[in-house]
Amino acid sequence: MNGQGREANPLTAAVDRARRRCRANQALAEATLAAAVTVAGLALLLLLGRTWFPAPLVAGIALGGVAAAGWRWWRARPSSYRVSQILDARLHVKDQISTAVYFLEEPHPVAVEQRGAATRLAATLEPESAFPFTVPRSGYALAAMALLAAALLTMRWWLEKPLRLEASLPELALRAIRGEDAAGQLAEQQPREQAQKNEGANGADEQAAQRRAGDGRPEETTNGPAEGDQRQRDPAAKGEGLTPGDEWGDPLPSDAGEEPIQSYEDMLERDARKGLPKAPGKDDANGAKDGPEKEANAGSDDPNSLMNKLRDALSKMLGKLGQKSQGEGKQQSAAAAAGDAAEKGEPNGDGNPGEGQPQGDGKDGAESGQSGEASNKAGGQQSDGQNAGKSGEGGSDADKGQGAGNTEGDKRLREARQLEALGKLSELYGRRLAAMSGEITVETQPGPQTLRTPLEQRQARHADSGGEVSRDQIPLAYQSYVKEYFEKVRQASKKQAP
Amino acid sequence: MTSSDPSLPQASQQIDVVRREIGKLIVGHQEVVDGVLIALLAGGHVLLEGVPGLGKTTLLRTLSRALQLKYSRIQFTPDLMPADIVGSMIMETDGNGIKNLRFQSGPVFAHLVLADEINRATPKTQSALLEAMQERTVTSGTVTHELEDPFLVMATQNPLEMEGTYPLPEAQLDRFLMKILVRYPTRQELDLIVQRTMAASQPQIERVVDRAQILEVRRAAREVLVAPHVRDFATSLVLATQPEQAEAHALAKRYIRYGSSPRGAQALILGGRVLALMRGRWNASIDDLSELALPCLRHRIILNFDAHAEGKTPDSILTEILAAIPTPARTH
Repeated sequence: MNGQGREANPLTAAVDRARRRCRANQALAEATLAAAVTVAGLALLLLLGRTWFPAPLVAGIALGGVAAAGWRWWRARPSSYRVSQILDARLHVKDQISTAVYFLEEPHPVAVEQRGAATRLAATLEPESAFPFTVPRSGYALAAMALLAAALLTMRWWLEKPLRLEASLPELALRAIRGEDAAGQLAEQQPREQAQKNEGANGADEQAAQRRAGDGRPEETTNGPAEGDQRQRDPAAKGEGLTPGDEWGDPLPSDAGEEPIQSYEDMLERDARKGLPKAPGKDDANGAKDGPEKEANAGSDDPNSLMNKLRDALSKMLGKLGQKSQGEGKQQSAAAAAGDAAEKGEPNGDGNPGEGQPQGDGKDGAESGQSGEASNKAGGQQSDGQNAGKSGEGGSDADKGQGAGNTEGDKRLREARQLEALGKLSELYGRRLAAMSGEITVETQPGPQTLRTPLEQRQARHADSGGEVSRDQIPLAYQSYVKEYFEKVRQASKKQAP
Repeated sequence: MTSSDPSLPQASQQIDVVRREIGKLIVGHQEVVDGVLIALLAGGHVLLEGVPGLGKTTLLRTLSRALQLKYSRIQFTPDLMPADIVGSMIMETDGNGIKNLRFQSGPVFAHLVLADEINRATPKTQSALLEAMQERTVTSGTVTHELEDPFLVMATQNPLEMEGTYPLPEAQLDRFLMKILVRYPTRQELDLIVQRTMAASQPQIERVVDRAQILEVRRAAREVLVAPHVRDFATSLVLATQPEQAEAHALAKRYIRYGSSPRGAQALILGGRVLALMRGRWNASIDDLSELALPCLRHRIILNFDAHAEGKTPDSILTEILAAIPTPARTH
């Protein structure tokens, strides 16, 4: 049939329309899949960075995904017969369209008549309704990939600003944990700020002059670039707003009687003359070894820095873990020794909360000295023998829940009490069982009884019971099965009785 | 299509006339009536199973009256002999006093044979029907007699009262195109049955279709188109019931001892064609085949011990298998 004939025939026209919609749906699904693959490549780039996952690889993955999707779409393109089968099934037209399509060239009168009926039916159909646009399954994969990529992007943005995509995300995270983030950020900021400095040098001169003129007094001498940087990152810490003149590119005001600092090099020279330690600068940032460490220290001067807080928290956690691991080994002996010492009224060794002694939770490193003093006081109290009566149980009640050693001791005691209670319970239960007597009545409902005994599971012993089953009691149709059943039972009983 | 073949409306109309005529006497049981007509037009035989009093025998007698066909009824009993069914050679003396042996045909020589309570006869007698049902011939001595078309055996059996009965052998069961379960009538149907049977006069059944017309409709049914995917559905369904096949359904592997024979697929296609014709279509559909799957296959699968022990029936297993057969709607 030529193209015009196909278009003119409502049957083939309907099938063609359905086929187009079907292929469009497939194309949508494959395109979504290709997009998902591309986003997955981007996610890999965000995760691994350009060091491990070069950017052209993302383009390669995207191209590969598109090619694979195209190939899949081409391979899965449905035939007219296949589309008509789906059309029949979804529109509930009893396979009339598909049969007519299959026998389209058949000259048999029945086929002609059937084709005519199918053509009339096709004229009333809306083929697109059988193939509505739906979200393909790969759409969910795309959404998941997009979500993952967004999460990685957010994480990376948080760890390195601006996005350079050089190092891998785990590497950045490790750096951040070690506290090298400030150095990295500073190293990244300085080239940019140098450029800003060159651009804004002239304007800054004028602004500085205006400020001096407005105040009527020379400004205070700055504390150096380190503080300037700190103030820039945390202006609220000093209670003043960030002004444009505070940036690195501004000519900093000098001490009284000195020339105004025009550049960072001037400031370094001035610091060298005064014998001040070298402040972190662009030379340090570009330096290979000592730069990051110094800048990390400089960054750590800010108590409100997020990374400093994170580092402090991690160091505290590691310190506690170390104390726990050391304390658990010696906990028993130390607790016992402490108990003995308390009973005898002797002071505890050096007076410090030694290994296995309770440690104060929730106290940061800044307060460690105070906690040491407090524990000294506690040791003194113990040495006074005030807690001698309680220390025989392995720790005072006041110290419960404050250290690993005491907690474990409590647990053991609790377990012992629970076991004791369980023993009493089982004893009571056993006595009750021994004295129990009575009758049991089992009621069964009348009705047709069916053979439902699973042979393997129940271990039935009909052979042992000696019962007889009459042939007439079993329907004829089931006699062979009943016979087979008893054969199996007999075999099982033979195996069990050697 | 030849000139003698009826057109589609004509064939459907003739079938409808017969259904209406049967409906004068038989209340409800439309699927049973349709099943018997499908078996007649597809050239098969039908086995009806149901408790006594549901109108099985009445239905078949009514059908034979509505069609202008030769009808005979055989009441199967344990002492019934094969010769009582197929006939026997008798000694006959002609006018000259010469004695000759003549074949006296039995009740099987009819168009519609009602084998009532077929499972009460001995297997030997039951087997006498085997050749007639499959080959449409009867052999007596050395002479083979052909049976006239259409030939339909309508057998009934009672699932109760199993004492002294002989279940039909699998080979004979397989020769029935369909096994139809006759169920109890609904409240409304029962009320109508009581009204009709208690009336002063019984409705008269007229002969509405003759033998030639039935044969024409039967030929037309053979012309109904079956697309490959519909054929494939029948094949898949039959293979899914065979536990030793790779395509077997998990339930078949667990509960079926012997699956359906190829006759099951033939029955599905033949029945589907007639059903399509009855519904005014020149093509069989997957829906037609699905509708006939239970009556065409339930007597062709033999369950194993586990199935009986767990209370599984052929219908429950087939229903699950049917739902798992891939169709265009399910696979896309």
